[in-house]
Amino acid sequence: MREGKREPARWIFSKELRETTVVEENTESEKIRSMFLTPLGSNGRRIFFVGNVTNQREDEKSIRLTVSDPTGAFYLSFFERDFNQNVKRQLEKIELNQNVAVMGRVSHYTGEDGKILFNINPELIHETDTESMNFWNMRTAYLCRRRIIGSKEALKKADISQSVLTASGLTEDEAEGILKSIKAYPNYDYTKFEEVLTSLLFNQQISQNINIAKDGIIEFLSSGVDPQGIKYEEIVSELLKKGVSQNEVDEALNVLGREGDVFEVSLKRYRKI
Amino acid sequence: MVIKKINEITDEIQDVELTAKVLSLSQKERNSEKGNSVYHYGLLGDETGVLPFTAWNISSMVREKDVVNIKRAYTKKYNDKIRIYFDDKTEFALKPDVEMEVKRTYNYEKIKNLGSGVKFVTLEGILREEKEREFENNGEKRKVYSYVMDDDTGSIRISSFGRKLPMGHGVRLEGVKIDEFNGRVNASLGERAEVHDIELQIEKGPKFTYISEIVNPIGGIYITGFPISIGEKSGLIKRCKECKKKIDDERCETHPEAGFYYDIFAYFNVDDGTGYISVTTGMDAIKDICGIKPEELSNEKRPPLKKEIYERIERSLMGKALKIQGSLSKNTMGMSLRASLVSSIRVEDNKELKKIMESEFL
Repeated sequence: MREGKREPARWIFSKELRETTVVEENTESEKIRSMFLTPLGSNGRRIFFVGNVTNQREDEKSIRLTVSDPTGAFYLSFFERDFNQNVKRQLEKIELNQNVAVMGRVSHYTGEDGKILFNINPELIHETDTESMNFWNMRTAYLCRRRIIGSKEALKKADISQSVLTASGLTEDEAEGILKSIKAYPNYDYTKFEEVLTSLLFNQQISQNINIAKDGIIEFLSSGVDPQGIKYEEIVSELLKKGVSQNEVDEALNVLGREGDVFEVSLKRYRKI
Repeated sequence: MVIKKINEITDEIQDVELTAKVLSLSQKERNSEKGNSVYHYGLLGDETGVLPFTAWNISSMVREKDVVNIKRAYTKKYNDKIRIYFDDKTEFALKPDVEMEVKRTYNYEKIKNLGSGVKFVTLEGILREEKEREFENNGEKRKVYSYVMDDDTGSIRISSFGRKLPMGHGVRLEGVKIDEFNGRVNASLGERAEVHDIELQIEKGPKFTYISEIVNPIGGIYITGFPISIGEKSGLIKRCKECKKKIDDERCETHPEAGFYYDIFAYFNVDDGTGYISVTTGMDAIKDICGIKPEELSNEKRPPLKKEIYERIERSLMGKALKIQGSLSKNTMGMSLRASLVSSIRVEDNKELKKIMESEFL
């Protein structure tokens, strides 16, 4: 692992950033740097995330995007005065409803109600695909879960040390962040975040299974030559062999019909278009 | 005081007597508030095994290879491993008349835990890819066989001097010498090392690792993550037709008449959420994901364009979750991964990764 070269980019969901109320001033170097500290113990100045572009505005001075992940939205701003023209070129290629992978620096400001709001200044932004999104969601949920379990363990024992946490399997970086966050967020309710993660992974599993079902149906229908199409029962029986349930076959057939890949020749008989 | 053989020393004992051979003896300086002092450390062995020792005080008569009767020593655990200690109360009596055949014992290590520095260990794994070559030692021709050994954590190159090793099934190699060469961990088997057949099942293929877990420069691993930057000198390069070395100009300095051919090289940083690592790759590893065909590089009518190739590589890699297989190596810039295959994350990869991640929470 490369160390000491570049500040790490934290993989966090928008919910984790949105619930952040602590920004620390790091005065170790010549410049004073603001570092966010999330309730789950992620801290830094840079994040990496994947999501869908749900809003896009552009004027002479800036480009603004809203990128939504399964837990909420990140707000991105790029100003003309920013020196990184390479990022500008990348931003200009991005369109509404595209899935994107973003790395950016986090800046903050305090709203009138005293609430801290975060803005992302993108350092890179590229279009991404469904499986990359699934990968990011899954890995980020995994990292969140590790920190939640670590935080709960740390709260069980007063004055728990970093070495005890690392001995339990956390990295030094995770342990350090957790010890800071349990002090900074003494009453944080982890259960709500856990519920969000459970539902996210459940929905992702369903969508993954439907994708597998779609591929399986297309493959099976491609093998058939009967112009009358293949019977629904035969499709279900074939896909069952691949571990796909009848409900998933039904959902996948609906999606394939909507997308125009499969045609219902007659009642419950299907053919590939 | 209790009298013990080395293999009977498994716990902490206050006062112990043993007769053992000094297998190695080194010294180290210690700086403390009381000033500088020297202590010794090394290995002791007898017919039953080997243990490390630390001597805060040791008789100046004691040398390597001496058989010594030692009284009033004590044992303690250090880093969870038992160790023999000598202090100013410990008594030493040389036993020059005693011949002692030491039973060598080595710590069993997984490949991913083979740290740098020379040491002897026991490895368990399956060998593949045998290569044979001859070398000359003191005017005598000898053979060396090289293999790749896999265990469930990674792979390592291993050389065996003068001895063919069994391939395709589990082996335990005791007394394997580990060292680092060219930024990679290597293993070698001398005459004294033992080879045993064992029952072993290992899943084929590279082994998954998080970037934060990478410590040693081993092979046979894969990482998953997003590229977060790509080197601006990535893309098309020229190589000398004779020596195949990269050339910056039209001609190779060593072979100016040889001409050149085009090749692909790319370097980029990959982040997996636990850390980031530098990845280097050649044509073979990225040709599929980038859709670059070898004949495009050798097309004399339409030679490849540097900018176009760079953009194709950038477009294929950036923003995509990747699975990168390869071998680690260490250099002055830190650890890097030399990719043997770069591919996009597919549905099956996500399923496999999900299993790996969830197994941690069971």
